[in-house]
Order: sequence, then C-alpha cells, then structure tokens
Amino acid sequence: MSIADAPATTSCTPTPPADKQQAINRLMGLAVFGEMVAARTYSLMGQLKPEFAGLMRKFASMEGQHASWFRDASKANGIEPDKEFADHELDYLIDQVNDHHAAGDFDALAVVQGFIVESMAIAIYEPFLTVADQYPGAKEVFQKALEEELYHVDWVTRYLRLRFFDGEDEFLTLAGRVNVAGIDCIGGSMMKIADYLSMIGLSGADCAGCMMDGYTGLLERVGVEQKKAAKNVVGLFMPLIHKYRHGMKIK
Amino acid sequence: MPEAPDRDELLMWRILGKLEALALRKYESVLPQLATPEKKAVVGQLLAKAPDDAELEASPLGEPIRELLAAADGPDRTATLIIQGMVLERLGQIIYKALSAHQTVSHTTRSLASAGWAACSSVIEMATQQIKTQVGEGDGLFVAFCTAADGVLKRLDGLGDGVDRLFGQKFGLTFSEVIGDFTAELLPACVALGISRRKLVCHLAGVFMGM
Repeated sequence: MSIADAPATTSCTPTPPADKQQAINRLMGLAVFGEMVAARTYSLMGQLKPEFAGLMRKFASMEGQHASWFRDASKANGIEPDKEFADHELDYLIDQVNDHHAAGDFDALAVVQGFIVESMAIAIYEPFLTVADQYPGAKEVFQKALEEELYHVDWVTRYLRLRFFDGEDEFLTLAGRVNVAGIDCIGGSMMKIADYLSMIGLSGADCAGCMMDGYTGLLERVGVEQKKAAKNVVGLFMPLIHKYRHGMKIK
Repeated sequence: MPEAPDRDELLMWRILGKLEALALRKYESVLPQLATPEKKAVVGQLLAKAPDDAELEASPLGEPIRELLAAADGPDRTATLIIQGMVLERLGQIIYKALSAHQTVSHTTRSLASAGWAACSSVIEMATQQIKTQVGEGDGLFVAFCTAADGVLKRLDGLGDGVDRLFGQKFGLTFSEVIGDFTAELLPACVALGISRRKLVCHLAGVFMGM
C-alpha cells in the first residue's frame, strides 16, 4: 500500500478508558509494541545504507531491549500491555515505514523514526518519570530508555545536518513530504492517548505540546527556519487537535 | 481579476470590520497611541463597504464571531495590549496577507488587505514595545498572556468549521493553516519577550484541546 492510499480512517477515536488500569494497559501496549516497531524500522534503515548497518543494528537492539524492559515492568505491576489497541495505532505507521523502505528512502525513514516517533516517545517518557514511582521498577527503565532515545535523535540530527548541509530547501521538502502522513499518524496517536495520559497523572496537552515543540526544534537544528518549522508542525497538528476537541474520528 | 468585491469577500470584510472596529475602540479608550491613522482608515473602509450584519448572521460564523468579540472586549490596558496587540492583530495580519496575495479576489480586496496588513504590522510593533514597558517580560508576561488571552484563544476553535466551509476553497484560508501561521508568528515574538517556547506551546495545546 502506498502512503497516498493509506487509510485515513483506520479506527475510531476510542471511548475514554473506563479506569486507570485500562489507561495504563493501553499506554504500555503502545510503549512495548511501539518499541518493537522502532526496532524493525532501524533494522530496515540498516538494509538501505550498508555503511550504517552496524549502527542501525545497534539502535534496533536498543529499541528491542526497551520493549523487553517495558514488558517486564508491566508484568511486575499487573499491567497487561494492550496489543489490540497498539496494533490499531501502529498499523498506519508500519505501512508508512514499509513504503519508505520499498522506495529505498533512508532519509524519509530517518525523519519518521528518528524525529517524529522519537519526539513522541521523548515527550511521554520524560514526564512519565515524574509519576513512575507508582509502578515500581518502571522509573529506572524509562529513564534509561529516554537517554537512549535522545542518543538516537542526536545521531539522526547529525546525519540529517550533514546530509542536507547547504540544502535546507531540499530538507524542508523532505520534511513536508514525510510530515503529512507522519504527523497525521503519530500526532493522531498522541491525541488518542491524551486522555489516558491524563488518567495516570500526566497532562495530555503538555505531552502533545512537548512533542510539537520537540519536533519543531529538531527541524530547526537541521536548518529549517524557526517560523517555517513551527508552521509546518503546528499546521499539521491543528486538524488533529480540532478533531480531539470535538470528539471526531482521528485516524 | 475583478474590480469589485463579491459576496464572500464582503462577508470577510464584515468580519474583519467588526474585529478591527473593536480593536480601534479599545485602543482609543485605553491606548490612544495605537489608534493610528492607518488603522482608522482601514476600519472606515471595511465598515463603509460592509455596513451590516445580515450576511454574517445568516452564516455559520455569526455566533462564533459574536462570542469571539465578547471575549476580546478586555477591560484594561494590559488585556488590550495582549488580546489585541499580541493576538488578534497577528491573526488579522495573517488573513490580510493571504487575501492580498490571492489571485482570484478583487482588486479592491487585495488593496484593502495590503493596507490592513501594514496597519496591523505597525500596531504590533508599537504594542510590543508597550508590552515590554507596561507588562514586562518572561514568566510574568506569560502569566498575563494566559490570563488575558485564553478566553479569546478558546473561542477561535469555534470558527474552524465555518472558516473552512466559507473561505477554505474561495480564499485558500483553512482554519488549520491560519492557526498554524498564527502560532508560527506568535512563538518567536513571545520568545523574544522572554517567554519559554516550550511552556507556551504546551499551554496553547491545552487551550486548543479544550483542556
């Protein structure tokens, strides 16, 4: 399936969870299975650029380790990661990753995984540390995972800066192309879990804001002018926010 | 390019006229230096060409515009500086810019939009200086911004569907794009006034999400 054909409506906005347990089950489902998708994406990236194969394998292994840690922490706290919910959220992302891989587009994968997906993970893991003590053992693994996600983002930022050195317009075109589906997908998931985040003591709005600001900042670091970066990210988030506010179908 | 504005353009004129007239009234009452001759000229032209509410009230934007105007009628200098000088002038600037560059709108509308954009730009510059001296910068300004502007920002959401339906195709003005442009303009301006961008983005996300 091409990105253009990707279903804009693969699932409905879920009914807010009945209780905190369901919220954490769904959030942890997205964390565990999202990390597994991230591992696969880095692995596919390694296939496209042999010169980075070793590093991408290392990143993939780290992401796989995160999934394993999160699964263990879930088990220790009576949390059942909700695979069905995660599958609904991740199918659209997997389609995008497959399309970019089939097109041999390493740079698009770098933006989707290294910037958009990682921005979402960072925007959630970081504040989660402040409430993680209610789930013994979770704080340590999320802290470690956060550090490693930042490490991945650091490499991707350096790669993209060099790749598009003196080519800011070309990078803006790439980001614009990837963002349409990428933000619809990942930003859509952020909107769909906003209420679950609030239910476990975080602010869904703060997480969404941190993701927007974090991703905007990354585009700037590669060379996109501040206003263009903000417009590009916020402009794509706004329809999702509007749908969230009005209880409309998100993706 | 047609010479005279059509019905959709006149509806836009009426909306802009009502918002600009409120801004001018607020400036005249508490910040007379912002009631510039350019602003007065734009308001006069808007109200003369689109003098009544009949079309607006019959449209899906009638009620949301009434609510926005009520929320924007801040009581004092600080509220006026923030609501009008920081928020609504920027929103107007973006709409004027889009209209002035649109190939299919009338010559009259494009010309008015250019004048409107210039008037907004000069008020924004003066308001920014005034904000620095009167309200301050940094966290203090952030608190004042939230207190004054949240009611207006919350009501912008109510315009979304109507704007998309009435002006999306016609003027290439979709709500998401306007808010995206608005936020992109607002963020660096606030950062220059010492407000943390991360804090502001999180706050705006909360306001627009209705949280």
